[in-house]
Amino acid sequence: MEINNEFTVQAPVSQAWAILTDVERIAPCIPGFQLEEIEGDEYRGTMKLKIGAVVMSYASRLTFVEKDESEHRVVMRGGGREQRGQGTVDATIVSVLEAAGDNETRVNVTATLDVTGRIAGFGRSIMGDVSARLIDQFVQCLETRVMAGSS
Amino acid sequence: MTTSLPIDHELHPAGAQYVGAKINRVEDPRFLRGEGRFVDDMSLPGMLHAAFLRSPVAHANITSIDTSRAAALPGVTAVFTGQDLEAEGIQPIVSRAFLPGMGDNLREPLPTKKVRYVGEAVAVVVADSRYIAEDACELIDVEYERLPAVIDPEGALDPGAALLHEDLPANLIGRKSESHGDPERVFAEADHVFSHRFVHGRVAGVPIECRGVIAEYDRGREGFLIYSSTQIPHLTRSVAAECFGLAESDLQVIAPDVGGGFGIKAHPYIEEVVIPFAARRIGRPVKWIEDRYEHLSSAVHAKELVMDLELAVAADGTFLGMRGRYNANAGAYGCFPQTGMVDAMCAATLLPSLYKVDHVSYEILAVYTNKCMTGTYRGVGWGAGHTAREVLIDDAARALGRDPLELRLQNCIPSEPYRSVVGMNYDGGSYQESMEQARDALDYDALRERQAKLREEGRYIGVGFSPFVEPAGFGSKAAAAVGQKHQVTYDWGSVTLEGDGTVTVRMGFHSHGQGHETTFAQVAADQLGVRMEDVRIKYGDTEGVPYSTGTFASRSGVIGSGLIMRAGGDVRDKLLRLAAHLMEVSPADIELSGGKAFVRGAPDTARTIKEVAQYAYFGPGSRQLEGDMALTSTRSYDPPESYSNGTIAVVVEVDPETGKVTIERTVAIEDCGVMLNPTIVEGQVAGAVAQGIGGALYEEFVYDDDGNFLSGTLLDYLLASSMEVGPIEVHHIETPSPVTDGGIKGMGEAGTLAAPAAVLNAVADALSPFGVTFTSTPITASLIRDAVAAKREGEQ
Repeated sequence: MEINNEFTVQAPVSQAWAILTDVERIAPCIPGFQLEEIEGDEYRGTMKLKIGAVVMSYASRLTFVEKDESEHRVVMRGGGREQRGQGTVDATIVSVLEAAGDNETRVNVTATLDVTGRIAGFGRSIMGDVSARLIDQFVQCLETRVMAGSS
Repeated sequence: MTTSLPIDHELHPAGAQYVGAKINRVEDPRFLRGEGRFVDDMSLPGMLHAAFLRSPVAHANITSIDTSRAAALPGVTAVFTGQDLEAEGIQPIVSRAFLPGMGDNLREPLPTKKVRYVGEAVAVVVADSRYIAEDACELIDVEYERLPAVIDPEGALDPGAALLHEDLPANLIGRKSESHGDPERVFAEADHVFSHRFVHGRVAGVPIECRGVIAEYDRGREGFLIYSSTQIPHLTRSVAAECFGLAESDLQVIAPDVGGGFGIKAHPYIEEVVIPFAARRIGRPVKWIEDRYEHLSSAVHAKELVMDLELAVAADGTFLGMRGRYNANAGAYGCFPQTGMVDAMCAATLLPSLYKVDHVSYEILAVYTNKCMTGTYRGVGWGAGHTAREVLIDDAARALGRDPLELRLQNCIPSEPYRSVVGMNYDGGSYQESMEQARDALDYDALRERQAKLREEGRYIGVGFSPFVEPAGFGSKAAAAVGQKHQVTYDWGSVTLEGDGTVTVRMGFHSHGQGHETTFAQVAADQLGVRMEDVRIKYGDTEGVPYSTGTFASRSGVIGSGLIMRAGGDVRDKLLRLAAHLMEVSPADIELSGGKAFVRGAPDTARTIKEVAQYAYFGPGSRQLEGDMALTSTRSYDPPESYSNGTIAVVVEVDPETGKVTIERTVAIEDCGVMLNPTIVEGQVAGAVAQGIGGALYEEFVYDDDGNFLSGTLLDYLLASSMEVGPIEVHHIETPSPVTDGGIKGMGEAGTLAAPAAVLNAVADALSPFGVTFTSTPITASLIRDAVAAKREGEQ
């Protein structure tokens, strides 16, 4: 399943790039994510996801597969496994940044998801809605907390 | 119509007063008071509770299973996997090949190497409570090596498709072609050929009570007691005994009250092997009650077929030939005993239905895919094939500018017994009359006038007809007629006059909504002249009743009544001799009725049947009678092919803006031969129509392209409620079967079989100004709305 989202942040591309490729800085803004340890270039933590009345908790890991600063393209691979249950999430996330103005960057995120278990049963449409909501929260947090602090 | 019965026993012996009467169900008081006893009501001393860990992935190799964390949870007694069963030599459930080129399908009770659909049981936890067992399931660590999922039945046989069963050369369950007459010629010469590809949605029966199993092992006798919510206790015993390598009578299988089956519970399941295994290993009784997710994801699904149909028609509307290709998307395993071929075979052999068509060919195949296995559900493939055919006939009528009912009447077979070109022996019926009666009940001409008038106001009503003939009273000959020669059915039953004058009928036909305790008591009471309340119908316990293949395929009414007439007739003869001996008259002069035996024409001579029975059991004089005087008889009955028929007509109003369908009226004309009890018949028709409407408009099990199961709740799998079903009027025609005992024909499935076509045809008729037609089920509101919108866009 592929989910595509786009958002803009109020920052020039170079600044946005520096922030968005710094997992430790953006981690507090990823809704439900708790970064627990970093080993080499692998980031590990717990991801809590709420869909309706269902709350899923995943033991998660994230690595950078590609970081191309000249093209402002970053590819991450993430994986998670339900802490209680059998479901899994595997994701390849491609983010491309481009200038949308002097002080504005448009970020296009394409996530290719392979989801199994309980949340897979909710179907594609609800997962699209949920991911859009998560990205909204992420961006809002980014702008109010991370960007504000760095400008 | 008159009938001559070829047999020497009668449904209505002298004095009979119950058969044919409208009598309320005698089992209802206990259900209405909540006093039924279902598997979940049972508790055995020391009983533990099981939960299954089920696969979250559609297709994968099992790399490892680590149960240590689960086993360590306080309250957990044991965790078992496929390796544990294999180590003790538990055999797989085998569905045998029955066509050339077909392979046996083996299903391990728990898989040792692979999982093949979402919901497949992988391991079982047994604990002090279900809560603990469920928690422990979450602590089992399974490593899966993912494999590509096969979902599309048309791609399942591609050379590059992932293989589900490595011991088979392809994902093919079976394939067969037949040709009758000269279809190539008539299709080449026909003035018109109509064709479509129709995809029938994946549906199932969804009983109120899910499945459930309790097992206890008797270490001393080395045998099992198994409670199961099943339609087929004896077949369940046969299969479980084979898996354990035990004699059949080492197992006692009891199906207590069962809250609906609809064919879904007419298959033995792996849980009926795994739970007994766990009980034996642990040495304590184990209970498992299926939850709704388990039921929806892993009890059999049905009727998912891709059907390519063609109809050759002459200039005057005469049907010349039919061709069909039926590809059943049968899921991951071959269900016992028919395999996933069942829907395709049933759909194809009923292709010509009640139309006079002399040239028919078909190809059927069933393929393995990474979905839940398919099995039997009320109306089986007969219904899916029927919907595809009847929708095509309505499309043809519209294209030819013909009235759909007139076109059907023009091509209908006569009412006399008729051999269809594919070899089915219809035993006569009311094929045309039922259509005419439906037409009259609707006041058809007035309805068409109202339709025209409403259209001027921008309202869209439509009418759909669905005349049917359905195989019923399913014995070995009916099985052979639908291509299931491998499915040998075998049923016996006994009738006993007890020492207190009451009558006990023992048969294996489980009753889970059919009302056997009522109808069979009517038949038995008439045979022995006792009052209905003096009859007890026993079923469901393999130790307590003779062998029966079980209740499915509208078979119990015909076969059960035949057994009671045969065995009851034997006991009646002895009863007459005893009464005659006691009363010192000739047996020929005795009449039995209302619980009394009396000399015909002299009711004041009456002795109660209780007195006669007491005389038989305890009166020394009765021993002077010669011959075997056991007041019991056990007989078997394997009826010839018999077929019920009728017509379902539906009137709908459709809102083209929202796609909402409102059912105004459903008229069901039912001809099931001689009726045992019209009240029961009407209840069966209503329930079956409701399920048919659900399948037509709402119900579907959906999988995504990766094989994820998206219909795991009743918010996703939408059942029709009384709000959607609307009023149902049932009309009766009684054309006695000339071939079955008593002229009875089976019934109970026709509504599910025939109502969907009536609904689809009615909706298409309502929307005919837009040119909307349908080639799939269910036709949901959004599908209808999109279809109307697409036609409107096309016009602009």
